[in-house]
Amino acid sequence: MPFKALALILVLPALVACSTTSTPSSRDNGQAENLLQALNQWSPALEKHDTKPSDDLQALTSVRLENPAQAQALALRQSPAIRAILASQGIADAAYRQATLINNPGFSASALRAEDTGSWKTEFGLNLGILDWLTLPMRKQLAGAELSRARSQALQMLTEELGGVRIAYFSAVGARHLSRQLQQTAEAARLNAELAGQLNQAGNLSELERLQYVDASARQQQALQQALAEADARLAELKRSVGLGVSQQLEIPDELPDIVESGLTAATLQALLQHDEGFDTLLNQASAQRPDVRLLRDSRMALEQQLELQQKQLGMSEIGVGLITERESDGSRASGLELDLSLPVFDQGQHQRARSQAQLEQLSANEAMLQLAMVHQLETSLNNLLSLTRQATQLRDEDIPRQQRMLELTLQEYNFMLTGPFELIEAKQQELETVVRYIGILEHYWLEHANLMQHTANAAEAPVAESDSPAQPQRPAEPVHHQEHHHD
Amino acid sequence: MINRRQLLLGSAAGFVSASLGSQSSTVLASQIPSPSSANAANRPASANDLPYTPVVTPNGRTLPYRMRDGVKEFHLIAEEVEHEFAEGTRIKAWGYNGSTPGPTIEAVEGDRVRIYVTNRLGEPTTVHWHGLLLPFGMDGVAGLTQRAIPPGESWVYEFTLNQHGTHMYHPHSDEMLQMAMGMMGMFIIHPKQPESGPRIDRDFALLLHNWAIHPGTYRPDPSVMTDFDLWTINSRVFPAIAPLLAQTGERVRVRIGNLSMMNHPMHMHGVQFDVTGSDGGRWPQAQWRKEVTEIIGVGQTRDLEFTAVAGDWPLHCHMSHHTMNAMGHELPVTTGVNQGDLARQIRQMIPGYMAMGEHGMSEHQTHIDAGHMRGPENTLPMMGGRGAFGPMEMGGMFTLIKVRDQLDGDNDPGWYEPPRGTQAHRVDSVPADVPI
Repeated sequence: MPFKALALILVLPALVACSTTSTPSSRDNGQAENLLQALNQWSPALEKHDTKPSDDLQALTSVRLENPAQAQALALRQSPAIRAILASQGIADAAYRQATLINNPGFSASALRAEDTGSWKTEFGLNLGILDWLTLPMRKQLAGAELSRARSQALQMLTEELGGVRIAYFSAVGARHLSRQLQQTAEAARLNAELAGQLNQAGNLSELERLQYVDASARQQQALQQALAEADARLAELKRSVGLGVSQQLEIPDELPDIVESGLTAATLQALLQHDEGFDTLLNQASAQRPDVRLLRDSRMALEQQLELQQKQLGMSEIGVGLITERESDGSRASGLELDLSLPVFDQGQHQRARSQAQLEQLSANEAMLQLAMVHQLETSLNNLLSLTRQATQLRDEDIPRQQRMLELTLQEYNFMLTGPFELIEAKQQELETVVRYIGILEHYWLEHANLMQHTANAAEAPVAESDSPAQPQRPAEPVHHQEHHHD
Repeated sequence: MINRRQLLLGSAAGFVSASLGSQSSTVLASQIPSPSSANAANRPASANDLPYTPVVTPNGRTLPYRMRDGVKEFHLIAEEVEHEFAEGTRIKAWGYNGSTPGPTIEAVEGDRVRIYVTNRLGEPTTVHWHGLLLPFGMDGVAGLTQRAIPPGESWVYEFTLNQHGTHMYHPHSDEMLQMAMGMMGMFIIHPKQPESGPRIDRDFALLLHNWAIHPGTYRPDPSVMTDFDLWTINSRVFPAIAPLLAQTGERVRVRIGNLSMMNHPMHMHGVQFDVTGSDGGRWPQAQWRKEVTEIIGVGQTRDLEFTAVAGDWPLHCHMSHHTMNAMGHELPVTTGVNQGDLARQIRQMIPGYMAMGEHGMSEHQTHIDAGHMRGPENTLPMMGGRGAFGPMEMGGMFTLIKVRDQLDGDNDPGWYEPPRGTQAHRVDSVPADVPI
């Protein structure tokens, strides 16, 4: 099944569910809402025990991911961690339904035999908890709030998990990009060492000088091996985060996307940092949609309702009415009503209410703390992105072209026997090392961009231009490309 | 338009201020002259009437003068000039009257000379008359014999020439920099009495110098002390140095001065020359000595005389690096190294890379002449020049003395054709009994 279709399966029903599934409280629109709707959509599937990964995905031998959105889509379908989060919704939903039920009425029966007459005295009673009836609407509200809180909690976990997938994606692509670049750097050092060997063999270069070049080459090879191992480890982490098995191949792009694909220019970032309207919009968006904010808000609402319920219970933990009928041993019958209640003499529920009240205050403070943290997170993230944008732009537009020009000029000097072949190759190495620095900045940029998306609750949005043809899973029948590693 | 020369020769009054007003601070030097222009155009028009044979300054000229009340008046203008060592290398140099070296001053023993010096540089300067016997206050040493000439001012030196010989002039104010920038010239004093010994038919003045023009730059680096890029005769490098022309049997004198930072063993092909003089004048004939190579020490001059023999004979410094143009001096030796597939691998990484030097450096000029190896901007290839039989692979302090039985005036006679049977040739085999 093409992944585009998979994405539609994930999203469209969620939108439909939005109109058919009653939610405990009204929600803002946005991606977080979509995720929540997606969770709602997944719940029935869970009820049908459809929690196992798709067979067709399980059967895949090779998957190619072109961008982080595809990685997230795959994780939604395949990751056990995400399935566990989604499964928790079934628990929350059942708890909600359970909480909205009326307690079953109590039935009692007794039979007593008189010793002297040998006749039986029987007694039947039916009682029902009045308090249960009286507080049903309130309890429903409370359960709804609890369900909402559970969903927010799941949403937060899901968002974090998907954010983690994004980070794993860029880490893996970045490591791959770097290792490929270091292959060239190592190759340049190897060429220098080989040239030194030829010169030494011809009697033109001392053993000491030759060994210096060999040593430099060995260090570059070591750096390459480390980079390749790191690339393998990060690819494995990405596979784990999207739920692929060890035997399944995962193909990813060779290079990180350019920063322009984020759509964020230095000017935009600078304006945001000057707290223009855009900054407020981002902050409002984060306040409205961040799962952790929602979780706190839902927790507070649940607690408020719990407090209201406690106040309405007036400290009575139990009120029951009953219908009793007795047949005496002499055959006479008596029927009547029974009232059963706990008298709020000692425990009037005052401490429970005080506890709830304190919890409310704690939640309120936590909300304020989170609001403050959001501003700082946003500022820090924007600052980092601005700095990284400037560095990447300088490296891409100035430093690398400068190094290329320097190489060109060094070649001209080499042509006129003004400089030697070692210096020429070293000029190439300088250029390659500048590209290595660029890749490092690029990776930092995309990781910081992922952080920004987390901070602004856009974790599931695709920051980079999505491919028109998303991941094309390969069937076993098709040729399998083993492109995970390029050690050559 | 009146040029400086016409102005000096044609005006009797106020020429210093007039010439000051008519010149820009940077004067484009004349194009590299052909041998004819180098050897003839700068010869005074009345040369045949002179009691001496005037000097020819290849690629340069002789400074005109004007007589006033029995005094020969000259005018030197110290200024920035745009200079070309050879086609492909132009720099911002400093010189006199639009060129480096400055024009040759030529006079006769006993002359009273008045030399105006205008400073169009941005810093003070002086002129030191190297080797001349003159009053202390005319010696041109900044701070010692005079206050340095400030920018924009004109000063005058006046003295009587009490000697003859081959001399030089150069600044003695910020001397290291100003000389590195090209400020220098020859000062030739002919004897008052006819010289004893053979009469000179052709007299040439050559001034040796060194330049640090780093590849891709346009201004000399005065901080360099030994590792120079260009070694010049009259501020030109081969193959842009005009050849010295003579006719068979003529008596030729080559006056060589050295204001570089290194001694130069100047070697002449084809003849044993006589070393006949210096800044001490023409020596008594008994002191002459036969040589084929004469070291011209730093700050020294030497006169080399010979009777011309037909041919195109090299005259060059025998320090072989001095007959090269810009080259690296710390290159790894690639002789004997067949880079083979390694060169292909390097080329994959650096397109355009070419392995060089396996069998020597001779192939370098072949590549350069083929035009497929681009060098740095404003930089001459290490070697160049083509003769009648192929690449000469030379540069720097190398020129030719072209001698023919009959010259066509001062026109370049082209390449000498060795008479039949007098040229080396290929043989099919070497007799086995020739010992080795």
